[in-house]
Amino acid sequence: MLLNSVIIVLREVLEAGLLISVLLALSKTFNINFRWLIVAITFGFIGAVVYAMNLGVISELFEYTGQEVTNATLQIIIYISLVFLVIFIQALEKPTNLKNKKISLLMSIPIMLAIIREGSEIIIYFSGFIHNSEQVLSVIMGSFIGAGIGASIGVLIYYSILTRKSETLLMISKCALIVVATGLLSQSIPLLIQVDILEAYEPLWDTSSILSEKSMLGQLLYAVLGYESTPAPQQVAVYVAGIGIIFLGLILKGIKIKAVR
Amino acid sequence: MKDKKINTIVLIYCLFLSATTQAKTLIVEIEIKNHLFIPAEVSVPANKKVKLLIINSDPTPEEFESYELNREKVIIGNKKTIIFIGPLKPGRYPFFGEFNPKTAQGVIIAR
Repeated sequence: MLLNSVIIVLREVLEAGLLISVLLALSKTFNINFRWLIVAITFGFIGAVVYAMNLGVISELFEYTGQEVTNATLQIIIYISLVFLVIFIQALEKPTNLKNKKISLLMSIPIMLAIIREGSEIIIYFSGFIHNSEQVLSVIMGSFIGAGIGASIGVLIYYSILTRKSETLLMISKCALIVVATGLLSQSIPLLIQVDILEAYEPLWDTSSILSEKSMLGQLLYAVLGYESTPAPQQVAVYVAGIGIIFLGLILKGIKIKAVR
Repeated sequence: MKDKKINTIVLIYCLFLSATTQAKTLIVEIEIKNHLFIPAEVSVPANKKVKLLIINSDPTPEEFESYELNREKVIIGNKKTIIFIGPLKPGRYPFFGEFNPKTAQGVIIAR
C-alpha cells in the first residue's frame, strides 16, 4: 500500500512539478512577481476538489464519455496556452523587466489546469481510504514521500535551469515546454479512443520490449514526453503535428519581428 | 425538393448503419467487488471492437488501468462506466486496478 501510494502520487506530482519549476525559472528571469503561481495553485486546488467531487456525475455525461472529454479538453487547453507562451517568449529577444499580464496569464492557465487534472486523481485516490483506519496511515505516509520526491525533483530542475546563462535558460525552458505540451496533447488521443469518439486502429509500433511503460524510465518518459510503447496512429500524427504547429508559430513570429525592424 | 428527399434517405441510411454497427459491438460485463475483478479472466473475440461495461460494486473508487491496452479510467464507488477495447490481435492483455493493485488483477484474452 505504501509503495503504491508513493508511485501514484509521484506520477501525478511529477508532471505538474516539472511545469511549475520551468515556468518559475522563466518568471524569475523576466522578473515577474510570483503572485500568479499562488493564484494558479489556489484555483487549481479548488478546481481539483470540485472536479473530484463531481466526477461520478461528469463520467456519466454524454453516454459515459464525460470523464475522457473533460480530461482531453483540459490537456488540449494546456497545450494551446503553452504554445502561445513559447511563441510569446520567442518574441522577447532577451529577458527584460516585464510586468506583463499576458505572460502571467499564459503561465497560470496551464498550471491551474494541470493541478485540476492531476490533483483530482489524488483526491479520488485518497477518498477510497479515508474510512479505512488500517490503511489510511500508510497511504498518507506514502503520499508524503511521493509528493516529497516529486517536489525535490522540481526544485532540482528549477535551480539547474536558473544557474544557466539567460539564453541557455530560455532555450531549455522553451524545449521543456514544447515537449510537455505536445506530450499532453498526444495523450488526449487514447482517451478519445477508449470511449469510441475516435476510431481504434492497430498500434503503429510496439517498443514495449525495448522500453516498457511499466519500468521506472518508461513511467518518467510517459510523464515528461508522453512516451507510449504502443501508440495509435492518430497519436503519432498528433504528436508530429503538435510539434510542427509550434515551430511554424515560432518561424512566423520570427518573420514578423524582422519585418517590423 | 429532390435534394431534400435524397438527404432524408441518406440520413435514414446512416442512422440504420450506426444502429446496426452499435448492435454488433459485443458488450462484456466486469464487476469490481472487494477490490477484485469478477471475472478476472475475460475472453473476447480477436480483431473486433468490444465494449466493456465495468460495474464498481465497492463503495470505494478504482482506476481501471492497462499498459497493454492503453486504457486508464477512474470509476467512482457504486457507479458503472464503459471502456471500448480492440480490435485486438490474439493474445493476453493484462489489466489492473491502480488503487488496489495487489488484489485487483485481471486479463483480457483475445482469440
